[in-house]
Amino acid sequence: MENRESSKRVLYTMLLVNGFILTYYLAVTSASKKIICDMNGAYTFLSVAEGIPADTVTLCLKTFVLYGALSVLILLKEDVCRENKMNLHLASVGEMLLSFELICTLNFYYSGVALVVLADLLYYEGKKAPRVAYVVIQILEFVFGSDKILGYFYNNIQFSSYLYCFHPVVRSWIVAVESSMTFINIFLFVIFVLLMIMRQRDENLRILLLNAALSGKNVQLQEANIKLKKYGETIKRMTEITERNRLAREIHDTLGHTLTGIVVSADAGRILMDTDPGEAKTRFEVIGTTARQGLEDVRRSIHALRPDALESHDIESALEKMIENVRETTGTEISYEQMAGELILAQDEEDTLYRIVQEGLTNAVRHGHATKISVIIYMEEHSLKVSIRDNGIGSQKVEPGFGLDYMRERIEVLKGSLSYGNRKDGCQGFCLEAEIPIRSRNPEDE
Amino acid sequence: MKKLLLRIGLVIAAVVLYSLFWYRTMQPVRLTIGVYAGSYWGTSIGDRYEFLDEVIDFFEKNHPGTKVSYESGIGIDSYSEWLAQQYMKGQGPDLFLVLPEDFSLLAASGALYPLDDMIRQDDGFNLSIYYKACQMAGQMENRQYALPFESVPTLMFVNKSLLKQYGISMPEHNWTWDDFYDICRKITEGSEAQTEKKAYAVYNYSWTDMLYANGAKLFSEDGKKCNLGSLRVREAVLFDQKLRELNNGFTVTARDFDEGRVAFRPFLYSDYKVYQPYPWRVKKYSNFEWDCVEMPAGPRGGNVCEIESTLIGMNARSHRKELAWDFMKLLCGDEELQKKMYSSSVGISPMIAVAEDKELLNTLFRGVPGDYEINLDVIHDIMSTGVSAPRFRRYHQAMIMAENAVDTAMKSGKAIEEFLVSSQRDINIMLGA
Repeated sequence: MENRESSKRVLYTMLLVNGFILTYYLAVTSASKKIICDMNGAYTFLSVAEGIPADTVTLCLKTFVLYGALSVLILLKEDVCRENKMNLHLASVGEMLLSFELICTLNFYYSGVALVVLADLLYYEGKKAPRVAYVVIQILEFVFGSDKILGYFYNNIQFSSYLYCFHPVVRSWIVAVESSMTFINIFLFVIFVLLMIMRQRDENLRILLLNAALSGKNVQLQEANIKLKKYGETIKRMTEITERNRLAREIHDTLGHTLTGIVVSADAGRILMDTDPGEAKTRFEVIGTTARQGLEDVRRSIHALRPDALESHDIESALEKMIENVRETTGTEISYEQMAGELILAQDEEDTLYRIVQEGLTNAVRHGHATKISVIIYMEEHSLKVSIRDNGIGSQKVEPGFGLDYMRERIEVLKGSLSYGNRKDGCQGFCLEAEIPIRSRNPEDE
Repeated sequence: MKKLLLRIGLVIAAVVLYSLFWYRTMQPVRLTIGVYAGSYWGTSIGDRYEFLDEVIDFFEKNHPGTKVSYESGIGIDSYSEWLAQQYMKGQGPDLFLVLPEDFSLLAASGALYPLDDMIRQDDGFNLSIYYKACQMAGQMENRQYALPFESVPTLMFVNKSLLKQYGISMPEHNWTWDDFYDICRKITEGSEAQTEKKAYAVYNYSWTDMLYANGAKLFSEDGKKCNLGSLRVREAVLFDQKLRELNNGFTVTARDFDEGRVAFRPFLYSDYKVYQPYPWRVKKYSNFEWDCVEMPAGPRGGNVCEIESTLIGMNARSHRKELAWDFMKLLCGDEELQKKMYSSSVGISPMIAVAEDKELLNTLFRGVPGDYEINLDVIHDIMSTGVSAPRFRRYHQAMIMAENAVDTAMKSGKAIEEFLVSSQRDINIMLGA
């Protein structure tokens, strides 16, 4: 960015220097004409020059108007043409025409103006085909615009012809100033081009640095991802441990306590049986009371472990809510059909049903990568049947993990059955079928 | 902000341009003319400005809203420099008189506006009203850059008294170099016996004057080639040398001529008109009788002489070219005005109709006895056969080189032909450069 500013400054300096040079040419030729006329050398001048010099006033006016227009174009270009590519091209063509007209007007004494326009074109034009054409034209204009080359073919008066009327010392000074100013112009152009090259190089460097930084960030991101995965696994394990500890404590606090009391009372009862049967009877009563209390405690503990959803909703809405939740969180298409009528279930039956559906969906999504799952609940005689089918990858060999084992245990507690495996209806996917006998429909079980 | 400034700037520029345009249309149209005082041929019998004022009055009456002006008092010697300075300083006059020696420089440097298109588009104007030689004086590289204004042919001056003294009759109208040489030889041989008041045959008649009479063209039309070694030029040079040999190395001076001791010299028509023997307008050559005849013809040519013409050209930078053309036509192409100028001029009008107007000629030579040599037929012959000097950029340089070459060749006494051919090569190199 700094280079861009500097090259712009160099361009403006070139504009200024060229203004000076043009004024200088006009001043020298005008002074020369005056001196020639004062010395009565006009006729000789015309014979030697083989041409007629342009009218001074017209020449100055035309030069300044053309150069003024060129300067305005260059100065205002950035503001006026920034958005519009077409305007930019028009401005470029305009500049080129103006510089050519200027060189012609000045009788090919000086073609350095072409360099200013060339610099401006390099500054603004993109890297496309027109720029190459413009640049070639301007270079040709610069090279062939000086009086030594084009002036040879064009009937004009050489700048040197104007210098003969001056004293030799003055003449050499004029030539020296002319050459140094022309040199300064070329020098400025070279600096401008160098700055442009540096700008290009800086830009490339910046892009390289950005790329490097980006790949570094990528590596960091991957590392963070791995860490996050590990962290998730740790959390899961810790949750499991916490849960296990809670269960252990619960069992210890309830069953441990009760069983200890039962063991102690049973031992005491066995000893007292012979000596004091009355006391022993009391002990057995205590055992019974304690055992019942223990059962109550166990029920309470299980109650405490119930899913939250079942706590606040009835089983049907809890199931719908869970399915909806899975649908939303995984984006899986789940069809749910409840054809068992009104579900009047015991608490443990509700829990089991809930856990089956939950575990089945989880497995289908997590292991089967299914996109479509169908859940059907229906009644067959006195049993509630649950069927979960998916279109996932299935499983060649099912290795029952914690989830399936736990499910089977729960179902077996309720005297039900569980079967699972790849679908046998020809479609790809996994199939899970569970059957739970419902106690309320089997009065003899009660 | 910048856009606003730009718009304001454009509006101001438009207003300034419009007011400039309006101001210009309100001003009278000005036409400037460049003229010199007196006559190009050194002798003058009329007032140039008086004639010019008359033309201007006439023109301004026919073109209302036009103002024609000129700078008076510019002498003939400083005229070329004055004109060059006008060009150096700025515009220069719209129309100006062009001296014969300045024509090629002005035309080649682009100072003169080519008139061909204007002539073609103007139905009322035709170049055929001029003698060919006069019209050609304003032409270069097949383009008409100027119109002839006044023409002066070169005649041969004859000292009638001297011829009578040696018993020689006046030369015939279609005389030749041989006739000329015969007379010269008779005079030279006849005067050999005399010691006092020796008579000489010819003064100031050199090979360059003889070229036209032998049909020789020293340079090609485009000025790219020199024909110094060609047969016709060589014949002229050899004839020049033959005449010089009559004098045995003696150089005849103007004083000898003025004293009436020389029989012939090339003589400008302008001098003839001023000093013509009758009615003794000016006291010069009054101690002997004299007259002018056509130039003697060479073996391969006719009685052809050179015609010099002053011209009128139009400034290539003029903004009022149509108007300038109208004025130019009036000055160079109007019969009545040309007649008026002719009567006060030392030259001959380049317009055929004016130069060969019997009535006018009678007025001009009123009071002159019937035996003068210049009459309507002679003027017709001279003007219609005459030629103008070649016009190209390096004519003067090339001419100086050719003259030096011939001079050196004659003095060296070696084979002139070889010398001329080698010099021709040098001149061609210069012309091609």
